[in-house]
Amino acid sequence: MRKTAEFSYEILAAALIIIFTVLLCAEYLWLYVLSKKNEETDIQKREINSRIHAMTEAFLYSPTASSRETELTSLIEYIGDDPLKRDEASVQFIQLMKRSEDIPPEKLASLGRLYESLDPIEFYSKQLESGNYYEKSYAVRRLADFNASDKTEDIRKLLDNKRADVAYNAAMALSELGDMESVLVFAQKCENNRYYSHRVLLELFQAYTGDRAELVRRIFDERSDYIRATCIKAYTSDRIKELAPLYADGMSAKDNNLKIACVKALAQLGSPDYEQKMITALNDKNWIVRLAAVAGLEKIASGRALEALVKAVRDEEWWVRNAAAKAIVNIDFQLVYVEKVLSGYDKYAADAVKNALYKQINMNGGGLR
Amino acid sequence: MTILTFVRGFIRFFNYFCMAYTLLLSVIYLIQVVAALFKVRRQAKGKISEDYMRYEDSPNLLPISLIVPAHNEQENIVKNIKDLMKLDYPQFEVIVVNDGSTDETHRRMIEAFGLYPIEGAVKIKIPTKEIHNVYYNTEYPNLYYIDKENGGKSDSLNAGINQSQYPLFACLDADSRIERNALLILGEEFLKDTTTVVAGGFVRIANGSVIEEGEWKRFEMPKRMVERFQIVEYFRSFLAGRLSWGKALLIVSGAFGVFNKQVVIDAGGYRTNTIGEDMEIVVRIHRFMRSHKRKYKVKFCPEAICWTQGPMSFSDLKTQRRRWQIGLFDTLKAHFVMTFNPRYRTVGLLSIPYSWLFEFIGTAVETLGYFIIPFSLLMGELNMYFFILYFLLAVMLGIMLSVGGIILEQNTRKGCMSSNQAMRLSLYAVLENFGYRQAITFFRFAGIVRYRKYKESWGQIKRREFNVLSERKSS
Repeated sequence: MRKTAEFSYEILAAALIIIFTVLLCAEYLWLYVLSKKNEETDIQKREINSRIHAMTEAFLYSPTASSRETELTSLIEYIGDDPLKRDEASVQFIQLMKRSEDIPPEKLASLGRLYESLDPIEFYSKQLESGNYYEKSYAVRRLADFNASDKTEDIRKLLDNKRADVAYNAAMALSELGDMESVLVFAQKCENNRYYSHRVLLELFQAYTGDRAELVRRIFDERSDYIRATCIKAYTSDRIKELAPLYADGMSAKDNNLKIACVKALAQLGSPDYEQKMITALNDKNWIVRLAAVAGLEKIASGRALEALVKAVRDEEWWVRNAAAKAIVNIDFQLVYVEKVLSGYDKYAADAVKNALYKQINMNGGGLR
Repeated sequence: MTILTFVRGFIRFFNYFCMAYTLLLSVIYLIQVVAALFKVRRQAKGKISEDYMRYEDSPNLLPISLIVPAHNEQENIVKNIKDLMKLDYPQFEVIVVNDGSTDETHRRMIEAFGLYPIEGAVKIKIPTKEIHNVYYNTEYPNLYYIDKENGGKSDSLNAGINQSQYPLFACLDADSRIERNALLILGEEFLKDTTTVVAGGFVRIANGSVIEEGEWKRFEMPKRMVERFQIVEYFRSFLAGRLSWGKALLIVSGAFGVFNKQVVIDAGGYRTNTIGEDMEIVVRIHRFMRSHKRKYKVKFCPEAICWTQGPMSFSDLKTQRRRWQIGLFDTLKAHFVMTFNPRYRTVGLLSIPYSWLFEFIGTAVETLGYFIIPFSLLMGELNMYFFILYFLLAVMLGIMLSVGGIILEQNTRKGCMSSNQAMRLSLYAVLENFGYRQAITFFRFAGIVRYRKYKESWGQIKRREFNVLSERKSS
């Protein structure tokens, strides 16, 4: 009995050793194959990248039309149907188009042949049909780069993808293609899923190539205050004048973020038509609103605005006081209002103006302006 | 029952316990490697479609303050800071905190960047040791230099947090280099998921690699064995160990991690009386967020790479590992209440008990095993045949783990090493089982034994300039 136990024990031990040896050999083989494959792919990618780059440059710097054609033909032949080469060439083509202003028109016209041969829209559309989510996700952005607006419907299908990355990339692509409905749909998704930061929404709105004013109007009509505020923030630097009445209405919103976004956007416009609105905003309970109003009044730079700023320099909030002081120093060329504050009874206001003056003198190397 | 019988009984029990324990640990590690492999492949594919370089010029990425504590870093500090200022990121500032250096660090920084003291109000959100001066130069608008009284790395990080003006901050080691796109990768994590509070990068051993202008050029095998072993070890522990824990990760390397500043301030900032501040802050964030029922995520991104110098001698390695072990014990002790506490979910029920059982106690069990097993073999208490079997299994599992680590690396950073180098490195996965791993265990055990003596001592590790690390044949 004991002998049998020992025997089975030895068998088990030998089996374990054999199993582990086989596993270890398999692991080593895996490592070898993987590292070899990685090495080859890496070399191949680098070579493709540098050859396409060199051939494109050779085309661009060819002195004559015939040499250009020769270079282009050899580039097209080199790319062939290889997906790696087609992808790399498409990426480099996008880069080239970004600096199209520096390329002479006759060379740009020749590049049309390269585009036709690459047929990037067809190439990436095929990737859209693949089952691989990452490929799909990558393809949609590339399709947007090539302005493939006829693929909008196909890309829209990915908006509801359960993978956040795929849905996000699809939304960004559709935004780049100027598809307003999709932007509105994705904005609503972001509203429901607060895991997306508001900066993702800003990216989405900033990528939008369609009629931005119309998009803001639609968002104002159909979406929540959170989306409205984010959308306005995204377009504040665009200074869309036709949206001024909408911003002015938004200033009376209950939501603080929306109110702040509207005041800031209106302030950026610096329109004298809304001077009174800005002066009223100086009395708002929220100091950020008051701060934004100060910026608006600085842009308007009228006599009334200066009078209002003199009051704002006595604000209870340090930031508002300082911004107002800086604004007065910047726009009061006669120094009338500066003197008024300095000779006034409010020590804090005078200090703020002194500080602003000191900073401006420092910045201008000793002079006031 | 005589004492001898008791001792024999204990030795017999310990032998089997020790063997079962080490085999169990290896199996757990193997599971981690497999889990990490799935994760790393998914993440690597995901990164292609995320196309993070699109954000290179985006104003919507959250700005980051890079805090670089420096204590006696005269060798590398100027070059490192110059490299940091070339990073690909839309908006960032570099805050160098000189933690009372006694060497030339201060003078070199002032001279290299033409810095001058500035006056300005700094809101003290976390108390720190006295700040002597804050320096600035308008030619380098995103560089601030704080000169302060010596207070340790944590204190310097807290001083940097007080000075920083951005919502995110990254803690960086003055002797490490991060890759140019690394901040973009981590910054994107905060953009796409508002619940991200910590994102850690992958710290890799720079020894051997050729790094120029802060950019990794190519990998070359380092000269010293100790450096080669560390490369294998980092792949195993940093990739497998960290990736597999997911959101329950307990440590983000002090050399490179990005944090939500407000969360760190709310949690009380870095604890100053510990040398394991990198682990402690992450565990405290877990504790704070769970206690306040706030949604959060701790992330590890292996694509965001930081290069660090591994110790070049066994004595330096000993200092480093002793410090790590003390840091681990300090943190586990300070947050003992989280152990097996369901309130902290996976962190309390899995991560922390795992650290206690396998990272802390495991060191002691393994060390004792190295003495007791051979002793019992001599005493005839252990079957030789059984011992050889156990030994072979343990070594094989160890090799499988380390080779698994290299496979993981090959999945993360394709084309970094040639196949020849990968295979050569895998040889060290075999060799490390005969001396290196035992030495590491002893160093860590020394940390436990000498905890009282070294609990506040960082120790000094020799560093060299990064461009010399490759030790190219030309030089």
